[in-house]
Amino acid sequence: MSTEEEVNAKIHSAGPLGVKKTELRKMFTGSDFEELLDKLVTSGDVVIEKKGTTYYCWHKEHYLQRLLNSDPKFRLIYESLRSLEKSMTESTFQNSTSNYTTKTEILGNDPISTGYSGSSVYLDSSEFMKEFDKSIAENSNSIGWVELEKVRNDLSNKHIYQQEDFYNQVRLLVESNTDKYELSTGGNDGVMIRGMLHGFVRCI
Amino acid sequence: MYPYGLEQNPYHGSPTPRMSDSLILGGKRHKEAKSAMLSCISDLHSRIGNGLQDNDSRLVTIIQDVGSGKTHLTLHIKGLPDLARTSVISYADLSQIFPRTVQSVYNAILTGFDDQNILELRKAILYFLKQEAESNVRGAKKIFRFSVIDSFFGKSIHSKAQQIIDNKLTPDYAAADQVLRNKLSIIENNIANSILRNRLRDDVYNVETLEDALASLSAIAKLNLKFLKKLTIFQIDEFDCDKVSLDVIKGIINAHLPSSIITLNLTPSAYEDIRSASISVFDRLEKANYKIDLAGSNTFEEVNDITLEYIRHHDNGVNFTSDLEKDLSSKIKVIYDEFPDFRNVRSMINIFYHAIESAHKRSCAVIDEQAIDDTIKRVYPGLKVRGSIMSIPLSEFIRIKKNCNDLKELEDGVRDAVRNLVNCAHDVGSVSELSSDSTAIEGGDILYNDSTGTRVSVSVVMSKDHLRNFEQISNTVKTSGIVDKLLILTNSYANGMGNGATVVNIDRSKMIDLIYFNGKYEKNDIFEEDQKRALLLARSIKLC
Repeated sequence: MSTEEEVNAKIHSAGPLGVKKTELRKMFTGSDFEELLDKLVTSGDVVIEKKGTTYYCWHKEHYLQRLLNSDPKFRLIYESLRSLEKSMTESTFQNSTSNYTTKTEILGNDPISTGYSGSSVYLDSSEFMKEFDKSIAENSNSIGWVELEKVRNDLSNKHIYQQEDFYNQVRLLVESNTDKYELSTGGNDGVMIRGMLHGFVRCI
Repeated sequence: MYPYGLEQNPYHGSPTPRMSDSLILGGKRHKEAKSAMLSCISDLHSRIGNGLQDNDSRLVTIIQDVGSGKTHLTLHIKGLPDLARTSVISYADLSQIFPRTVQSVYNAILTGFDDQNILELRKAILYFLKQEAESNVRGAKKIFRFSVIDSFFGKSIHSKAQQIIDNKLTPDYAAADQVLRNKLSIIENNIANSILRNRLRDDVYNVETLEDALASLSAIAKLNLKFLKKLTIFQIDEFDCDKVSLDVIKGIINAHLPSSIITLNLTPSAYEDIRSASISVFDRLEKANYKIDLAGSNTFEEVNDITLEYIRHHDNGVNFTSDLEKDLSSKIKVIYDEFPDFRNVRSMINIFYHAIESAHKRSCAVIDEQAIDDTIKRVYPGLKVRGSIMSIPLSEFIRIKKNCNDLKELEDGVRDAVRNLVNCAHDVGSVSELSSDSTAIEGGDILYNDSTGTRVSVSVVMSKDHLRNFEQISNTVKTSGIVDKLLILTNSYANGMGNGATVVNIDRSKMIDLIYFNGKYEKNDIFEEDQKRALLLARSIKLC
């Protein structure tokens, strides 16, 4: 991995919290660090902003999340735009279901691809699965089960999730990976299947 | 005759299995769970006479979601003929007990023993007393009302004992009590006497406290070990966080009932509730000797194997060939894939119970698509194939999907469907007539003008080789200079490729919808409602 890729990866791993520029400079000592960082900023992969008296760096994928977390005015405008897009999409395909190809086309190849719904920020399906698996591993009891509510709270600490959107993603994930996950009834909230609330999940 | 040459419906219509239903056990995971359970029983039984301590007991938990087969597995183990040689089993379902008191739970456990077990124990006690009488133990002959006159008439103590076993003679209970008192504890003696009187279940009236109940259960276990050389297995189903249940089970666990195994069936939700209600009971469950795991009990492989096993069991390898198995599996797969609500054992068994009845009424040799369709319509009237614009009946969906393996044929089918869809759209004025010069562009399949006069070319590109698809799409895009809009329908997920090309990714369900429409169109079976749906289908793939 080149130094540029290492710097990029390091900034990416910091997530929405970002990483101090000074810390990066200490990690990547060398005369070309500033050049590398400028290159990343110019290409649009990295955003630098002053937070208080310190300069922080964010990867572009996490900068949006940071803005949504920290800037109420931005968040309100953003939510309004997404709501408008959603109602336009819904009115064009009134009778559509999740199998509609055109919806797939608009959102990308994956039905759970990077997209937005209301004020939730979706992860793409592989990212969501990774985070989901990690949360299950960290929160499950000795027999492997964990309440979906706990997983949702866990993921909500890192990303914004509407309850409905989270459970829609869970449903899609579980339905397309029946060999990997199983659900069980009970709990305070969860996925409705066969008219029963399934609020527990585990990895098989 | 039922399908597959069966004499009766192999599936049960009840939502929970009865003893007779649980004779059949399918599914790799369920069989592994059964092996684990038998291993536990075998392990403990092998210690009888080899240092099995009085207080040697085991705790087994089976924790899994509703409808996953816990009760079925439990009853199956209870009914195993081989296990009857080593164990006496009581099955109690706590959900059937109300109000729940120590006495009612104890009563359920007593009722949970088969009559056969109690008779066997009674017989063993009588044979023991017979041996005592034959050994001239004081007062023992009196039990059998044996006198010198019986000797004159050639009757033996053995024949008198047999008369008592056959309930043709009443023993002298007081004499039996006297003899047994020297061999057993007070409570064991009470239990033995109630068994001799065929009144074991009346012992519940002697139980007032949890301590009494535990002492009685312990006595029963000791009698089973002493007279039958068997373990006692207490199967408790639907264990939950009810206070009485928790107290009784905690008491049973702490009492270390001798030569006993306690199995507890519960759901993950109940497990969590128990954790909140009683951390001490929860901790004991956490440290169970065996935790039988039915993980994956609702995966397709498991559900499929269980569903097929019912037929295999009743067929005995006569008519249910491997081809028929494959055919039925393909139908199970369609139901499993299309209806997430049915991805569990209980639902699938219910569907096939009704489906086989439906096939039987039409004298079908197999469970066909029509039978499944009728079942879904009748038993689950609100259910439809997801995402189908043409409202395709399930039977058609299954039939078409089964034949969807040849992608070339599928591509041709979709191409024909799209052509006819454009024709249909033209019929209602949404687009102009289909151009006969569809070879106007290389790689174009269909050419027409839409309602705004835009010249549209449609290309259908499908193959398993996605790379080839992309190459073909790319070539089609490059050569599309003479049309205003190029529409590419493909099964390879591809983004729009610029140059005015629109790529529409269609999944298998959409293809089936198109093929179904095509079938109806070619048979002139399109009516007003279908025409509206067809138009919507055309819009969904951007034809108009």
